[in-house]
Amino acid sequence: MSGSTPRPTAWRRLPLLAALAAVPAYVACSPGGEGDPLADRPSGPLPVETLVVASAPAVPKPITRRSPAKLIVNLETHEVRKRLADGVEYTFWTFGGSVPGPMLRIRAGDEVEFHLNNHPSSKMPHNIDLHAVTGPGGGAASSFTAPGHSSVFSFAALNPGLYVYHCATAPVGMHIANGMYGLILVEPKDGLPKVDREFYVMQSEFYTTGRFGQAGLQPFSMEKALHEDPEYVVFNGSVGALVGDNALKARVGETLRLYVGNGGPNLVSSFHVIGEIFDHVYTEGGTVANQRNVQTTLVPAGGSAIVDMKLEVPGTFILVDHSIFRAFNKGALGMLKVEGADNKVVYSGKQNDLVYLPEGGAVQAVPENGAAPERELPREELIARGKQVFTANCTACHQLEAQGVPGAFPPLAGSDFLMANKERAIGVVMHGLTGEVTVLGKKYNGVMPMLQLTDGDIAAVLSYVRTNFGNKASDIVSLAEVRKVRAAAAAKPGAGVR
Amino acid sequence: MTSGVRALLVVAALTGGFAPGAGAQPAPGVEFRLVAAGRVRPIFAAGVADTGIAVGAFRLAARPVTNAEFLRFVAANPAWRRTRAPRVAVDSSYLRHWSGDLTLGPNAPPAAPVVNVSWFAASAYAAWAQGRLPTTLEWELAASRFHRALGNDPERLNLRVLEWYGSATRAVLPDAGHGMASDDGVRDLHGLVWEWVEDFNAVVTSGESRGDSGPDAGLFCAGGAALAADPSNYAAFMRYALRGSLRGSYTLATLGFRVARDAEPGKGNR
Repeated sequence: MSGSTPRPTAWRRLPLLAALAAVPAYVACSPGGEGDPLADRPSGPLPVETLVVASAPAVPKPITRRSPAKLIVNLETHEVRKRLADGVEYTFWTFGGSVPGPMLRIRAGDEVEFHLNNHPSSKMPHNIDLHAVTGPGGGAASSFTAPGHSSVFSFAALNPGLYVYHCATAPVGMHIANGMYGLILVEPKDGLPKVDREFYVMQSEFYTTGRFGQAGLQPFSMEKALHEDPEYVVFNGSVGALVGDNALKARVGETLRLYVGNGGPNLVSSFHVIGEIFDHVYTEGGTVANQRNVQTTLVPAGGSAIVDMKLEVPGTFILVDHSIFRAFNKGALGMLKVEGADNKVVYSGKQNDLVYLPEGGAVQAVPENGAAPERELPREELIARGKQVFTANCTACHQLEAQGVPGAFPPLAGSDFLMANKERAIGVVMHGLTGEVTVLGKKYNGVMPMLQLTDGDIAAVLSYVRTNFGNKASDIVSLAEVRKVRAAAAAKPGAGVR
Repeated sequence: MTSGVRALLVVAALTGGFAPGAGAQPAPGVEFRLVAAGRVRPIFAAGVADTGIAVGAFRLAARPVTNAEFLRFVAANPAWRRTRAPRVAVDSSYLRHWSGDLTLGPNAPPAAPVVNVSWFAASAYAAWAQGRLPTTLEWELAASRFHRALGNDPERLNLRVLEWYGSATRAVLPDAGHGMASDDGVRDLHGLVWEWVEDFNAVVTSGESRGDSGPDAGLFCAGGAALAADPSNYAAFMRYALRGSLRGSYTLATLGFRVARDAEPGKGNR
């Protein structure tokens, strides 16, 4: 604090004193608000188990033990070339040979003897930082392992929750960007509320030198990683890992829990399941279902969330990062296929498909709200407006000087076809034109689309074109003439085109 | 380093010391290139001027030591054969890609670089071949000069190196001596194998990479290193991380070595 900071007055100190008085109570119930996590350790040695892990999207079975154990964990770091998207390969650095690494499930108070084994074919040394570990580097400081070697360290699980683990070897960003992350669930001592089905979903992004979908083995792009501009944002390590035959599957009536992690390395996920509402969210992977009825939940890079939902109706529900271009263009898309009986009350499905006709049978340009009703314009004003309409709507095909494109778009400049019949010209602009026409002795057989111009625009653009580009009409095209053609067409469908 | 010192004594006893011994002979077929003097800015460079550290000229083998060359070494020095080398000086995967003590076999082409050799074994070979291992600074200096091959563009070199680091290891390595040549005419510095350096453990990354760039990195780093000079030089980070993960007896399927010599006898960088 700088010397100029005013000294607190006596009354300002009171809240501080109150806070200090509260500290012993807080300490007594920390961490995890469940009392001393190591309190129920037996006096003798703990029973020893080898931990069974699960590959995404599977989740290890809930723990039925109600007393602590010593768990032996073996995790291998392995650099493997695998599919990132169809036709696209990447050299992934992995825990356990896949991205994400396996999910670990232990119980608060357990003791873990962790063996990190670096495959002999690895180019890189690796280590592991488990966010569930209390200690320097979350284990990274004790697990730095050369290729073909093995490190062992032990920790006690003090805090329950859903935690990310990842490699933290220099340069840490590249080790994460290449796929080195996974989830470890530390169950509260009394477990989590029971659900019918559980899945493990982990989002992450990849920075390849080639653009999204560019085929072949794609190297890591450090530049894109530094700019946080990934080509791929995916669930469970590759585009389509949770799509089609690989979709998550469940049944109507089940309760479903997703353990959602985000490996990053850079992006925060706006996790959303299209067509579902999360009944409970354990935000940021904590152990309190602190929010209900959530549409989209944030999953921080290097963080997690647990979401529960009751499946009421069948169908395919799409998992997305609702930063939606990531879903549509970069791969952040998965599927949850729910089978079972319809519930027409909850969701009817499509009940009818009707033709929607806003104003009778004819397609009409509807004036925008607040637009002034159209009126006849003085000649100069009409032709000036016509020039604007021409430039905006006609030049793409008929060209700036109305000269057309030989063989494709007929000229309007000096056009006999245009000048021969004013009503026909109005009809062509109003309805478009299909089929063969002869202009200045040359045949054209194309399609002019209906342009949805207002009657006033049609009058203006024809007045402009018929008095410019070598066309020598003495009269303009009035709004009344256009309206007359439209009325005739409405009375006799098909008229006006040719 | 107590075990390291003990290992050194064992190794010295086995080979008749690090000076060229009775069985010593020059390694035929390997050219030594003069690497011109220059300056190196280490990635962990606390207290080092921006201009870097001066490194004098030295000689460096134009390519890494091959399986065939190492076979001649173990033939002449039986104590370094796979089944006889002391476990304090080599770990259990020493020369494991060979078929036998004196047989290379299908995974060890004669002209491919020798790998699965420990620092002690590499040092013993270098002494037998009338040389030594290059220092870290020497190696980094030699490995930074690719103006002729890549234009004056450190980014291109960085990308090329990253490409190798990011690719999977091949089961059988290609022959040495065909990689990109440095300005000094030294080949295979990038893209074939990692290489032992004499002082591989002088700059230590603790393994907790985020701490290495923090203010308390000095606690870990024997070289007095603290803040990274260039955090975007991922290639250099990876080399330092690998060296930091090693011990003298370790052998890796991607780690070989080459021999260095002083530019003139008695006028070295050490």
